[in-house]
This record gives sequence, structure tokens and C-alpha cells, in this order.
Amino acid sequence: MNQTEREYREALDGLRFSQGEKERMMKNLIEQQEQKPVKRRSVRPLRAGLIAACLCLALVGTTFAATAAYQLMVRVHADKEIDGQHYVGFQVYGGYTQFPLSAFSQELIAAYEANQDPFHIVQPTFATREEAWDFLGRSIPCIWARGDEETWYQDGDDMGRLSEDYGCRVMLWQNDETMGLDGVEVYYYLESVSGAGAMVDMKVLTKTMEPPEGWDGSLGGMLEYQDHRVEQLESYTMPNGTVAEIVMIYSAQKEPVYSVGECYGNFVYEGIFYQVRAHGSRDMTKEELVDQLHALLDSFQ
Amino acid sequence: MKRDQQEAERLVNAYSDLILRLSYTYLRSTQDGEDVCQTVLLKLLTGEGEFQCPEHERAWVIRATINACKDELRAFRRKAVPLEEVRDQVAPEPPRSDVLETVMALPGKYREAIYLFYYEGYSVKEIGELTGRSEAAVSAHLSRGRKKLRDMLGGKEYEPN
Repeated sequence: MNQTEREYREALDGLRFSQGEKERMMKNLIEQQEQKPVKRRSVRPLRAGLIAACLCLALVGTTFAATAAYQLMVRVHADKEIDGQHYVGFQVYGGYTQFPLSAFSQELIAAYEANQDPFHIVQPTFATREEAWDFLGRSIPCIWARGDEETWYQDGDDMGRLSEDYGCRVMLWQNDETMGLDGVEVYYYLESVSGAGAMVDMKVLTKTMEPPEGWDGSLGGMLEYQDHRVEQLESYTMPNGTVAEIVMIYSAQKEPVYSVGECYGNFVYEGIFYQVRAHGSRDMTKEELVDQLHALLDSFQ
Repeated sequence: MKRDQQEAERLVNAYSDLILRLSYTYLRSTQDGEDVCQTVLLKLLTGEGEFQCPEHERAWVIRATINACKDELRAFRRKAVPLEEVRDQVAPEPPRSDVLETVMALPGKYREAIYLFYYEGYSVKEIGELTGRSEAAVSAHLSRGRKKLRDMLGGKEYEPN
């Protein structure tokens, strides 16, 4: 820790509420709680609570694989250094379409035009995918993971305290400098009856996109610390003929208490990039997790 | 009722200072720290069920605080607080520190990245997850923030370990 960092930390350490202020807050909290109804909240796996908006830029790869038919390429990193930390992971490239702004809903365009604050991200959450699609614009040719009660499902009925995390979120990427619309990202989370969970992340780029300096065209991917391990698995052909590139990132723990790792399915359909990030239950093997991911990919329509 | 009091006490002791520091980082003021704290902890208190682990709960608190601060920033543009009200508010005094004041002079997105990385100890990836930004954006904000800080501090180093 250098002197500047230490000084910064020590200064913030000194910023705290007095005991009297804390006691007043406790009293107010109790009073306000009595006036406020208690909401229901569903409990979900930890990893899903943290939503990854991962557009990894300007990185260098070590191995390379490509599927020409869908122009989707996966670059696997065995060791990538960023800010002095070492990562393993992968990035995905190619095959996307840049959509005109006219393809998006008027509501979305109005929301983006109304936001001129680079510090604010427009990211409304919807209870259903249909509502999210309405906001996105029906001209955008999306396909959605259609779970059912026997395989994968999205529990949309119990939208309690964590609804912001577990609904269907639409996030607008606005350029920091110009505030133009670079793209739109949609996330939603599903669970399987066998205990797996998956975040679906869909990225739609716009024709007005102004790529940041040094962008190498990467659509997305994931980086983990060096103690993890990454492996590209066999591609998977979905029922609609789309080929998904599968990458597994193994947990750093020898005996994982949470999941053997995370399995990523990446594909492009009608110019839109999809990344499905699945994790298993505690006792699920890698093969079972991959099977679960395949089942979820099968449900896209 | 006793259980609620204990839970309120736990939440205030566990998170009030974190919320104060984070809201100060966003709002550049401690005046609204208590309001933000009240808003976030009330949401936490009135929810039902358990988080998977303390880290999950902490991550939720950070996200909720960031959202509450953004709401405050938007509200700032609309509301004018009566002077009497301002006088009545007693807020924790921000510490005097050249480094802290220099960090606070940086644009918000750089302050956010520096606070979460250097003070809270989150990785670039985790900050991306907490703030809804891409890892590349967080990396860029950290890097540019450090450079600006170095320039403003007259060449004093501020590099990661």
C-alpha cells in the first residue's frame, strides 16, 4: 500500500456516524418499519445476484477457435494481465448486426434521449420478457429461453425486494462523451428444477455505436482470477440450427462448495449476441452442468 | 419487536458507515448520508428471507446505496431545500485530507471506481457487477482516475499494489 492510498483510506476511515446518530437512525428505522408492509422475497443463488455487464475490450488472446458459419469466434485466455492482476477467461467476437435506432421502441428512444447524465445508466426492470421486448422494440428479432415447470423456469411471480435483480432488465449503453446510444443489453435469470441457475445476457448493438478507442470488436466474455481454469468445450448445435460456442471456467476451489464452475453458451442469432452463463448446484458434476446448459439452449425460440 | 430492534441495530452497526462513505463519494456531501442510510436500511429491514451469505447482503447494500444516491442526484435538480432545514441538519464532518479532497474533485465515475477498488477492495470484475458497467469501462475509469489524480497531486504516485 503506498502513501497516497493509505492517506485516502485513513481519511475515509474517519468518516463515520457518531453513536448518537446511529441510535437515532435505529429508532427511526423501527418507527418507519411499523408503518411499512413487509414484502416477500425469494431466495436465489448468490452468483445470480451479481449481474455482469461484460463487454471486454482490447485484450490479447493466447488460443483461438472459430466457427465460420456464424462468424462467432472465441478467444481463450490462459493468462491475461490487467492492472497487475492475472486472469483467465475468454472473449467472443463477430457475427453481430448493428441495428438502426428506428428498430427500437419509441419509449426506449425517448428514455435514452432524456438522459444526458453520463453518470446515470437507464436500466429499467420488467416483470416479464414480453414487457421487456415491448420496451426494446418488437422489430428487434429476439429469441428467448422458454423454460417450463419441468426443466428451466423463471419465477416471475415472486418479485419481492430483489425484483431489480431478478426481473428482466434492459440496460442502455450510452456513450460517455456524446451520450449517443451504443447498444442495449437485456438480462434475465432462470433456475432449473435440478438446482442449476443461469443468467441470459443479450446484446443488441446500434448503427450509431461509437466504439471506444482500442476496441478490438469483442462482444463479451468473462475473466476470472488466475487460480481458475478455462476450457473451450465442443460446440453445440441448437434446434434452430444456431451453433453455440461453449466455454467452461472451473472454480478455483479443489472441492467447490458452490458449483464446479460456470459454463457459458455463446451464440449469435439474427445479429444479436447471446451469452448464457450457467452455474451448478453444489453436487452437480461438470457433465451434468453442461447437459443443463444444453437443455436451456434447446429452449430458445 | 425486540427481534426487529436487534436487527435494526445489527444493520445500522454493520452498514451505516459504509453507506455514509459511499454516499459521500457520490454526492460529495454528508448532509444526505443519513437519508440514504435510512432509505437503504429500511428496504433491507422490511424485506423477508435470508441472503446466501454476508457478502451477498453487502453487495446488495452497495447496489442499493448507489441507486439511492443516483435518485438523490436527480432529486437535487428538482428540489430546493429551505435554509432552515439545512441549518437543522447535523451531519458527520468530512475528514480533512488533501488526497481525499483531490479524489473528490474527480468526475463521479472515477470516484466510484477508486472508492470500490481501493477502499472496499473489490476487483475490477466485481465492480462491473456491482455498478452495471463493463469490466473495460471500470478498468478505464480506474486508469484515467489514477492518472488525473497523479497529475493533480503533482506527480505523487497512486498505483495499484
